[in-house]
Amino acid sequence: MTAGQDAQQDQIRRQLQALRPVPPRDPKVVAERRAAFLRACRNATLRRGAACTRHPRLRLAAMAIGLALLIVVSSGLTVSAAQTALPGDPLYAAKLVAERVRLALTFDQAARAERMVARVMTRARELDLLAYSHPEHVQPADLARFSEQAEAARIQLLLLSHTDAPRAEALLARLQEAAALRQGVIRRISGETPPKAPTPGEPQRSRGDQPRGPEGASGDSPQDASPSPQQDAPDQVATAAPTARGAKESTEGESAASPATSSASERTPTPHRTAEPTLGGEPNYGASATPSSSGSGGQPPEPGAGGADSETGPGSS
Amino acid sequence: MKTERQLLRGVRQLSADALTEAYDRYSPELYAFAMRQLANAGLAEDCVAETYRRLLDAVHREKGPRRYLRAYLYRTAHNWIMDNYRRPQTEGIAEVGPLEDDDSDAPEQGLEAEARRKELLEAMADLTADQRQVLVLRFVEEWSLADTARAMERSVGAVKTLQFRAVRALADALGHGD
Repeated sequence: MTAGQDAQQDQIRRQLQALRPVPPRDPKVVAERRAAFLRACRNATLRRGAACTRHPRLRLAAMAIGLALLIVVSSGLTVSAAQTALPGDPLYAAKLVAERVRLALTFDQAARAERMVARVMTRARELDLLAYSHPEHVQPADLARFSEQAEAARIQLLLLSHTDAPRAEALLARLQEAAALRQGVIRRISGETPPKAPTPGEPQRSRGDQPRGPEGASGDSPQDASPSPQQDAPDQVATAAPTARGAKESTEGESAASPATSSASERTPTPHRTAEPTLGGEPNYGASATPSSSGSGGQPPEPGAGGADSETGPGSS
Repeated sequence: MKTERQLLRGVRQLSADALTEAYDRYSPELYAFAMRQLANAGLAEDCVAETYRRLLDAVHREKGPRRYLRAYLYRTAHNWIMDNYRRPQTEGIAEVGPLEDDDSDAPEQGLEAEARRKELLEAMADLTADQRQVLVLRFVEEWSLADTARAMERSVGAVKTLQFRAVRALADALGHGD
């Protein structure tokens, strides 16, 4: 900035000083304006306060959400912890409820059948474990639960066999394993000597590892590997109480059911269709293993028609 | 006495104490600032009231000043004044009123001072709003370059340049131009 510009700026500065003096404010006006401003402040504070009252609501909402999450998480933990529960345990009911919920939320027929068969297998393993650790704790209700769920799974497999026969057959094999496991339990609590010295996981493993016959049955005798329908029927479970006598009756019932097994399997014309008559007929999970199932020369039923199977479907069982 | 930062924090929280203190601390100088440019007591009071109303409104909407309360108030007041200058039916702009209730023994001097004020205000009316603001803040309010820059939301260099041009423009308007 040049000297001339400095001088000009100083001159303007001096002149502008004339604007500095300001007439005094009217005290009355000042008081009124100040009061008006403070009123506005109070209103604004109140509005902000009203807004702040929304914050506790938000906090409450957050707390509610947190609580819900806590319940969900704790429920999940409970269900998770209940997975290893056995009948009689405090968390066993939670396990059953969780299974029921999972099943109710499964709408695909095949997945539903798979889940139901898995549930039956779980029941059988539970019984197996319980029979080894505390045989006296095996209650008729536990056996009845197995039978009910096995029957439900069988019906589901019957439905599935109309749309996906190979898968139904595979699941039926698992159902048979479960039935065999349960049969071993009944033998154990009735004091019979099992065919082999099993361990808690062995019965199913040994059966699963053994080679199957040409019809897909296990290598055991039909009486051992294929529990008769009477064994799995709820009314028969009542006789299969965890008493030696009840268990004995149960095994006797199995022998008595063998002819029926054969007669049901005789309706199976081809090995491919073994699951259908077995599923649709009497609930004999091992019927397809009988040699006669592939040896009969009957007419193969039309898929979906079912013949006698349709007539003896879920409603008949 | 609270620092400006503390005061601003209280104002942003709509603290009644802070708002009252902000009004009591800055409203007199804001009135003077407005009065020097408007030369009308009623308009200057309106300017002050409107400035604080805008502050309150902005703070309530969680906006408003973040760092400098005083600069914000001056900027708001300046904007309000500029709005008044733009209005064609503005009442009392550059209208010279009684400066003070002085019982001066020399009424001629008072008249002369009034005439100078009037001349200055008329000359300033020819300047741009920014030029007027920089001159008032720098030479009447005697603010530093930094404070002026904050109030005008410009850099110090930009304020220097603006000030230089404003001085020349006012000198021209007053007939002092070389």
